[in-house]
Amino acid sequence: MSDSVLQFLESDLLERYLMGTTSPIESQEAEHYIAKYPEVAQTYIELQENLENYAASYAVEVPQELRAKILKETKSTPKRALPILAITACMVAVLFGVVAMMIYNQNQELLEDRRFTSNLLENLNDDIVSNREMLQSVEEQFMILNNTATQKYILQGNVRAQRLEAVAYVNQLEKRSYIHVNTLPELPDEQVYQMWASVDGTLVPLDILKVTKDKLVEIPYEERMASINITIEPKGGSKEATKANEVATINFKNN
Amino acid sequence: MKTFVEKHIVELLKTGDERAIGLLYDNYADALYGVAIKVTHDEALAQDVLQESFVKIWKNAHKYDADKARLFTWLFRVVQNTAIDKVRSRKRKMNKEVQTDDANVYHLQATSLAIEHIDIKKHANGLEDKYRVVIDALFFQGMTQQEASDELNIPLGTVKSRLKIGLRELRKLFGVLFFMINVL
Repeated sequence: MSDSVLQFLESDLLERYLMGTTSPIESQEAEHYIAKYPEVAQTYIELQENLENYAASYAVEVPQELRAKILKETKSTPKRALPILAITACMVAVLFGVVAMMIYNQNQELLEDRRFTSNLLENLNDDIVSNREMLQSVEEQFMILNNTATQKYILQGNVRAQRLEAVAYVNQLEKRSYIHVNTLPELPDEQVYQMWASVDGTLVPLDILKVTKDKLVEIPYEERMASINITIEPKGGSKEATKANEVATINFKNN
Repeated sequence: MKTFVEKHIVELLKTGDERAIGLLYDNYADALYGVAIKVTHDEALAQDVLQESFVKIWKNAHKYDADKARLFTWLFRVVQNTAIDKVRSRKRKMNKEVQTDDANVYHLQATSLAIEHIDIKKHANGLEDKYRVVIDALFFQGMTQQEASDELNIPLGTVKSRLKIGLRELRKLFGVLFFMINVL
């Protein structure tokens, strides 16, 4: 017999457990010893038998009429439905509730993921379209630039815009024209550089000129375009060129 | 060791079979009534206790766990607790009515323990009074060991050892008794 079992049996815990006067923790301890150690279980059985015998030694005959009274009383008392069923039903209901809640949450998360993925896919598709367009544009520019019919024009500003540097590409066969603006002298906020196409002696307004860095910008191609002129105009651009503010001109060959 | 009757009653109780009550009564009522009388010292009150206890037993049969205690141990606890509650309730009522300062829940019981000794049946007579008084106080009066120590005016350690030795002695006494019954 181990020391702990001896110590347990020497204590009064088992006797108090028998009498039902132990705390819940003490009861757990007693039940643990009873379940684990056969000698404790045997002692507990003997204690119970002694209690029964000792109590029986005080037995007193119950008055005859009490039997019928007690049987009647207990029969009129509704027997509680097996709570195990109710408890099981409650536990199953709670379990279902928890599982349903988990599935609902999981579903919501999946829907959210799906929305996110869908948006991502949409954005990627847009990017693909955009990249394809850009690639197509670059390919077109590449084709134009490598085309032997394309003329290259270097544009330099006059005294009023000495730092203006731009290169224009014109392909009369393809009827396409591009400009690459490298540098532009700074202007006051209320002024802009505007491009014009000289057609039959008239200046037709084109775009506002901006620095394009490493990018070629297509500019509208005009038939019979003799030159491209750049002027300084009020912010937003003008419908008619201010000839006095002209800062650069490109005269095209063969026109 | 569980008897066949005990197992049968437990099965009936578990299934809510009303025959369980009749069998419980026929097999345990006298012993439980004796316990109720020992606690209450009042036959009329003991009958109320027994009646109330059987209703509790019937209603709470599902709480009985045969793995934790023998059937009689559980029945004993139900009757003991019901009886103690009744006595305390009556004492409170009497205290309210009489308003005596020296009223003590256990005073009457402790005194009556000595009187009850003469009722002990033959096979329990072998137990020395000093052990029986402690066992009675703890088993039948619902006292804690500390309360028994205070009431019987003996040290707590002595209460513990007398309970342990007393139960061991009972084991010997009943062991001899059952051996004789089996032989006869």
